[in-house]
Amino acid sequence: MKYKWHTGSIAWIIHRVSGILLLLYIFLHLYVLSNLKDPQKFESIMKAMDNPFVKIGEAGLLFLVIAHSLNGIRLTLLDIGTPTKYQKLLFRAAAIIGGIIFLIGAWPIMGGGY
Amino acid sequence: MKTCTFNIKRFDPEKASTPRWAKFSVEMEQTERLLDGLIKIKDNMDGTLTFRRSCAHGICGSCAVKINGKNGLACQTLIKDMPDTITLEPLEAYPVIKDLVVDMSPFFEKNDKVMPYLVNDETPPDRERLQSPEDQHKILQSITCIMCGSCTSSCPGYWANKDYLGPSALLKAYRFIFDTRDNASGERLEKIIHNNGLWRCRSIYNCVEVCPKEIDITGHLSKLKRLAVKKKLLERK
Repeated sequence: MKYKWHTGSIAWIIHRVSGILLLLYIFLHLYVLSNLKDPQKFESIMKAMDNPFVKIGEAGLLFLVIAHSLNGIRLTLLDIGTPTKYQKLLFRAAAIIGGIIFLIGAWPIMGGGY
Repeated sequence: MKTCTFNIKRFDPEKASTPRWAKFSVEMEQTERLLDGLIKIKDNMDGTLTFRRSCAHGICGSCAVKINGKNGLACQTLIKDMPDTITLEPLEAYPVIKDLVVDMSPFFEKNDKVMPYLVNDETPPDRERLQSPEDQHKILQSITCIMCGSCTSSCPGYWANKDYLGPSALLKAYRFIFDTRDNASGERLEKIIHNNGLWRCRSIYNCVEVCPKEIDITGHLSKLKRLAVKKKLLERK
């Protein structure tokens, strides 16, 4: 039988996975920026960004950044002395706030307007 | 009365190389505890079932097992709080000796590494070394640890790295570092500030979820982390 998943372990897995994916993204980001020297090549890469799969990827990136940063704030708060009894509440709060920020941010990425 | 199905992960190194699952149906009273069920099985159904128990009152910490995927004391878990099917496994991450009995020596070795004793060379007073109620309050929770091993066995950090001291040993370090009668706090702190010590705690809170004494282990470890950071910053100045 698998060990039971508690809120803390879910938060930890999300933090780990999002951290690794964000690290990989940095290399992708640097690759795109390294083409800045060549205006034509850069333009063609920018065009590729209109691909719907890239758009979904960008929304995914937004999700990773939000998840990692909000859980980072949660862990920092707990490390500087917030009582342990609030750790689950902080996770739920981060999930709700993160969800709202994600919806607001992902809408224009996917082509919507305000 | 209700009929409980005990699903127990059994392992006998003399008979088989892999563990097997055994099922027992036991009539249980709602007011009985899980340990009573284990004793009933051993007494009336299968005498070869092996498990540890001693005080049966949540003090010795012998009967810590994995109950439905979560560590806990069999003597402290009531049947009324359990579903009809109860899955029992030995504690995770420790080597299994037989059935529910695990080898706790890796656990105690970690404990020995943090100098788990009072260090004070001053001449003792006529009676005991006194401590103010406020100072006692600082270590009040940490001294209630019964060393059942549930916390360290529930820690994903420990599953991944058996060299990690684990929540229990670090809590023991806290117990003496924050004890005002102790004079070796600095030395003890040095013993836990390394990659396989304090900094391997990733604040997953599994230890807090399982502690049968409801000790806020991660909270205590956070306090140690703050102390360690403060110490290192002061040293740099």
